[in-house]
Amino acid sequence: MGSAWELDRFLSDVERRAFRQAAFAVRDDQAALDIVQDAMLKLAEKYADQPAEEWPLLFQRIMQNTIRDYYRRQKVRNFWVGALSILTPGRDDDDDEDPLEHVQSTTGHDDPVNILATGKNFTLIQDAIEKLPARQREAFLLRYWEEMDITETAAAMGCSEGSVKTHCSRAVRALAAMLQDKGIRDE
Amino acid sequence: MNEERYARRLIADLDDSLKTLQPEVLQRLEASRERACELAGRHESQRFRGAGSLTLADWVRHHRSSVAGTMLVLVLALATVVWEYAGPGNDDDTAAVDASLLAGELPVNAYLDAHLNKWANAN
Repeated sequence: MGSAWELDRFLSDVERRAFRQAAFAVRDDQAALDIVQDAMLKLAEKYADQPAEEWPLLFQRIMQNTIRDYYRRQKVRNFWVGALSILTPGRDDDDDEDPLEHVQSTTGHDDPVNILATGKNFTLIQDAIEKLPARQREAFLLRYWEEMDITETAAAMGCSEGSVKTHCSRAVRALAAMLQDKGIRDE
Repeated sequence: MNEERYARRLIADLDDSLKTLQPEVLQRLEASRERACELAGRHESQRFRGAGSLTLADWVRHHRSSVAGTMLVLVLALATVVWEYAGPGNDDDTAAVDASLLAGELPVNAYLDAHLNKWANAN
């Protein structure tokens, strides 16, 4: 059974990677921080009395579920926003304004200061990882960044070991192709 | 392409990026961690507080037959004591002998006689 002190050590070890992982998935730093906080609280509330060696897998499962919950909430919100915007009077369909011009990046990876601080390679890798399909990204990050083996990754993702191998292989090939286009070659 | 080697190279770049997270992100992560640990600490202390009563409950559950036997013996012993001291027969016998003493039917030293009980029962 893990103690509060062990939990602190475990969370400080995983929190930065968990934040990046959530940010890759939701592309919003604030939402990613909320997701990590929710996952930490759920782990502390429900699984703090479990053996400490079970925490990495449990935490990853909680993270994946919390990210999925976020997608669901976004979907519902987008539906209602869309429905209400149709009913809102005074909108001009011939409006030539591009809504994307008003969207501000919340991840900040196109900010020049951030690019200088983190290095161009990371920015390109981050872009490529964000473009991966969700399951491939999940498998790639769990397998290689969290250093889980195939069995653990399969358990965390709730799929078969064969699927994990396929997702990982496809993810690496897709990343290689995307990064090669940007000038980062496999040496 | 060696997929494993390529993936490790990308991960090394991702690891480097963790060193340059913005201070406000780090602060927020630290605050979340502290809240989580505080919550875990509260649950832990609640578990310890409940540990004594759980142990007693467990002991009773495991020794159910001995506890039931002991309780039965105690109840029987108590009932016997109550019957001996507060039973109706004793009061009646003593009252009859006392009445005979007061009426002069028995001598004052009748209680010293070894056959008094037999006489009282016969009457």
